[in-house]
Amino acid sequence: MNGKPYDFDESELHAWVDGQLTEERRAAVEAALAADDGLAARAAAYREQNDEIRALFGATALEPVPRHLQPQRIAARRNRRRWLMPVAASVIWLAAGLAGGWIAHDRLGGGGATVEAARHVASQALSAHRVYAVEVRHPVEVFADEEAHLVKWLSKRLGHDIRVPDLASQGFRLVGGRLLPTADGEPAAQFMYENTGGQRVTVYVSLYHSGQETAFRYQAVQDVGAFIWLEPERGYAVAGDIPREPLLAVSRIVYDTLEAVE
Amino acid sequence: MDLFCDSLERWIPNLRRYARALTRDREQADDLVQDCLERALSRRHLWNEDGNTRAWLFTIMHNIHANDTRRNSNRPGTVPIEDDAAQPARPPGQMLRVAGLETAAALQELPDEQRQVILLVALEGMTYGEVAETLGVAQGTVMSRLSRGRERLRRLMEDGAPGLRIVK
Repeated sequence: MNGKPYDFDESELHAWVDGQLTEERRAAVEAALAADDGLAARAAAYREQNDEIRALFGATALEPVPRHLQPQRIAARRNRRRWLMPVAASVIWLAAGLAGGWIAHDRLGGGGATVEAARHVASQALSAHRVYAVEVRHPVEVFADEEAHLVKWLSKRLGHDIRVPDLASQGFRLVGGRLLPTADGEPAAQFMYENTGGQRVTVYVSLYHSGQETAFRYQAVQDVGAFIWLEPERGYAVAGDIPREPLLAVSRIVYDTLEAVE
Repeated sequence: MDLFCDSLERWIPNLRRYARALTRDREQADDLVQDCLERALSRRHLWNEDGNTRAWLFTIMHNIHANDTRRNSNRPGTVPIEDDAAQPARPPGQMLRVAGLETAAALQELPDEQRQVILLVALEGMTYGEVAETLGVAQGTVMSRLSRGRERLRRLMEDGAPGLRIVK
């Protein structure tokens, strides 16, 4: 080593610590470490730092990734949010002028299966709306004056916490809610709202395993329209005999409320 | 499945681990990861299938973290002091070595830029070249931050990390 104390620079000491040296240079560094206790102590301390840092934080990488961090879910949320923007929505309405048609607009590429799954939820939510929204005396099983009980009951039956969206800003107050069966024999919840003009909207939440995650979709049958979206284990719909714009505004609140619980 | 989402998903455990080490707070770390993924999704057009997705994601996360830190820096006393000599002298005392905790406390004493380099190398096993790419600095800068950071950390450990020294 020609009398020089070490024929390597500081960078190589770190590269040795981090195992980033070539075989040849490693021998040179190790010779120097063997000859210099102070240097060897420093290198050992750096290695220990690495070990302790890995011991401290390494386990985080082994934890299961929370659902809300899965890219597919984030992408779906982003799509919905984009849908909820009024300007974007009105552009899409123009494009989707075909009456009662599907807006097959799924950037996630779920394709036919997704459309079918959403249609499945939509038809049940629309049926439930048609049957109960016209009821004068028995529109719901549990009225809004027992809201706490209603929430507790339906949360229990659906197996997850449900929060009742507050639609007062859109002029709708809660009438109450009921438990419904789905076509697949699972429980679903329906919340009914009414405005001062007597118009009603219903919020439908069902246990439904589609494995899909979708953006907002719209379906209308005759006068009743519904916004539908899917989570892998649940189907959601907001149905009403009101124009699409106010129904969209309502859906936005419902979505925000239900999403917040997850 | 979508190739882009798959390639993001692959790095989430790494992003979480690194975020946890940066913030030392579970909630804050996952918020950071979520923000990072959101931004990555919004910049999908910039993603290069054959490029280094990990470095790309870590760069995004760093930028967000730096902005967050800047936003929170109106609190007094958070300006990092680079110079060891400017550190107050620590009174001698017997230390109780609590494996890891001491390291964690000492890490917090480092300026962000030194801590980042040390963590990327130790946790991620990144090459110095990748660290440079991720942080957008020259490799020489990476080496000098690594060198200064490790030496500072070593001295802090020798003197006893703040708050963990137990005087008997």
